[in-house]
Amino acid sequence: MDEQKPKEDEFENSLNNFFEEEIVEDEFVEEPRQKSLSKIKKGSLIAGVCTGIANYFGIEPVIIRVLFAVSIFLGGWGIIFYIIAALLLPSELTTDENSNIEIHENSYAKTIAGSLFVFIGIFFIADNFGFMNYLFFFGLPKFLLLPVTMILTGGFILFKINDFLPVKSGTKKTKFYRSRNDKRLLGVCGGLADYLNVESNNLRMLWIIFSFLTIGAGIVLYIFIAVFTEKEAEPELELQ
Amino acid sequence: MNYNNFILLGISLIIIGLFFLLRFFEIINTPFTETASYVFIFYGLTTVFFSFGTGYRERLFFASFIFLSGIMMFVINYYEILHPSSAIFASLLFITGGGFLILFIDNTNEKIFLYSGIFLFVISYISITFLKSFQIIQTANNISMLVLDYWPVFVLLFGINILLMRKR
Repeated sequence: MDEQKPKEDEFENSLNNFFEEEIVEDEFVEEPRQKSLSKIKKGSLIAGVCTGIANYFGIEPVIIRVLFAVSIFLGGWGIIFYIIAALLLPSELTTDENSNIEIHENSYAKTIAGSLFVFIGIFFIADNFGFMNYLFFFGLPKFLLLPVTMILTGGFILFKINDFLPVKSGTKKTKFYRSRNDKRLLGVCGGLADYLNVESNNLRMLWIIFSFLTIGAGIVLYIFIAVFTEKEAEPELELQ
Repeated sequence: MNYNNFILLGISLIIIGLFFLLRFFEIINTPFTETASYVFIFYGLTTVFFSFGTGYRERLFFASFIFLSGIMMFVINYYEILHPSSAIFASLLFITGGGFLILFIDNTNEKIFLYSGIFLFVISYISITFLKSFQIIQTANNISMLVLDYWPVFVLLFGINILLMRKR
């Protein structure tokens, strides 16, 4: 009996090794899918052309969108290209595992708002500083660019309103404190940013601009708020 | 943003677009600042109304800022003010004070916003009455005018900032 046992063990081990090898081989049977250029509906703003191109090249969709937006200023031929691509490219309805783009619905509204501000900025920079002659729009009057874009964007927002919806919940904070963790000087901007549910560095930048424009009134206001506002309570440590 | 805010944004953009279009075809003859002031007032007022008590305090603050900016633009455009640039410093303080006051109205437990608002209103009043001939106030107005001349650059930077900071 004792002599037989090591033999049985050996047999069992060899069987296990055989099946493990089979399993490992099976893992390599499936070849990685090749990326193909297609429209991607998920995370798209209009037809999914920009998202598809971005996915194909492994870059962010916003880069492609900005390039398309810039192309509107330079003759508007990007729009024609977009329409043709939207008609010709096959649709890929789901973003699968090989897609490296993570899309949150929250980014829709910000993408639209950011692109609109960039557009308005470029348009009025060109208008105010005499670069308007360098802009083209299908040979049409360039000043049509702004109203047409605004009407289309407004219509687009109303049309796709359900895609924008759950963006960000409002803050439930009821008390304004000077921040203990997010502070540069006295924690006023950090605390206010937390209370208003905004990015603290953006608020700091705005406060600096405000102080600059008001010849120091912003600094006085900062000190005023810091003096009359309590500091955030220290987090209680859990004693083991 | 909730449903109403998006509807308002969409409608505001369509209105301003139509204004520009009508102006382009010379059907109406309102200047750009007046057109912008109407849209600012409409968007600011309605957004403040819909944002009260929802917890969207940042929107409440900036919508009141937009509304008061619209009022300022309308007043400067509508009335013949000899030196509108001399009112920019006071207006900026008043508008920011209005934003703080709205925050207090939204949450009356936070007295500091009321005090901040009053503080800014008082400085604004003093600057436009007793201190208006002071060189420092004139310098502040000149700086603000310079910044206003370059507003498209700030709009562009703001847009880029939104695009870069958004959550993906």
